[in-house]
Amino acid sequence: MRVIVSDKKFDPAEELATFTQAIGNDGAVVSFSGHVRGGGIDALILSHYPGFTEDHMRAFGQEAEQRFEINAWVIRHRVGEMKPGEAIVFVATSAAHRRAAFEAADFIMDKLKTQAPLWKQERRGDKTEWIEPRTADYQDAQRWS
Amino acid sequence: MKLTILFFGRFCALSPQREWEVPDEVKTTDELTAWLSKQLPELGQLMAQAGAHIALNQTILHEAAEISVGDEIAYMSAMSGG
Repeated sequence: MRVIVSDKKFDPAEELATFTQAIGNDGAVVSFSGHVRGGGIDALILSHYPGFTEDHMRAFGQEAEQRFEINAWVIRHRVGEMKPGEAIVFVATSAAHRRAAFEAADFIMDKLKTQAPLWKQERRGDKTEWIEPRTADYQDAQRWS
Repeated sequence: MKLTILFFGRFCALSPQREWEVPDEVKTTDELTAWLSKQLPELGQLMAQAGAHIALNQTILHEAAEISVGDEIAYMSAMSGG
C-alpha cells in the first residue's frame, strides 16, 4: 500500500510490473493510468500541498481496503508541468477475485478525481486556465455514497 | 506572532510569501482572514468562491479555530482533483 506524489515522469507499464511482482497469492490485478489529453492544450500543470495531499490519497486507499476485499493498492500521481500524452496518474489494486479489484480501482479514481487536494491548470499558448472537476466527475463519485 | 501561511490553487497568485508576522491580537482563523484581507484585498473575494477552504496544520477547518505561534495555515481554492 503506497502513495507516491512526484514531479518525475513515470511509465505505467513499469509501475504495473513492480506492483504485480508483489501481490502474493492474489488472482486479480486491476490498473488504471490517466494521461494528459491532447486536443489543443500545450501543458497541464498540477500543484499539490505536500504531506496533506499524500495523506488524503492514503485515506482513499485505506477506505478502499475497508470497502472492498483488496489486499494491495498503489497510487502514483504526477505533479508539476506535463505535456500531452504523459502519464498523470497510476492506480492499481489486487484482490483474490476480479470484482473487488475492479471496484476498488474505480472507487479510488473517483475519489482522486473529486477530492484529491490537487490544483490543475491548462496552458494553451500564453493563456493559463484553472480547471475544476466536471459535473460528471461528481456524479461518478456519488455512486459510492 | 510568526505563522506560516500557504496559498494553493487560485489563491497562489496572491502572495509568494510563506512566513508572516501577524499582530498578536489576531487569535483565530477568522481574524487572520480579516487581517490578511487588508494586506491582500483579493483574498476575501476568493474565500467567497465555492469550494474554498482553510486548513490549520494540515487539517481542513469547518469553523473558526484558534491559532498559535508557528501554526501553518493554508488557503485553498476548490480542489481540482487528479
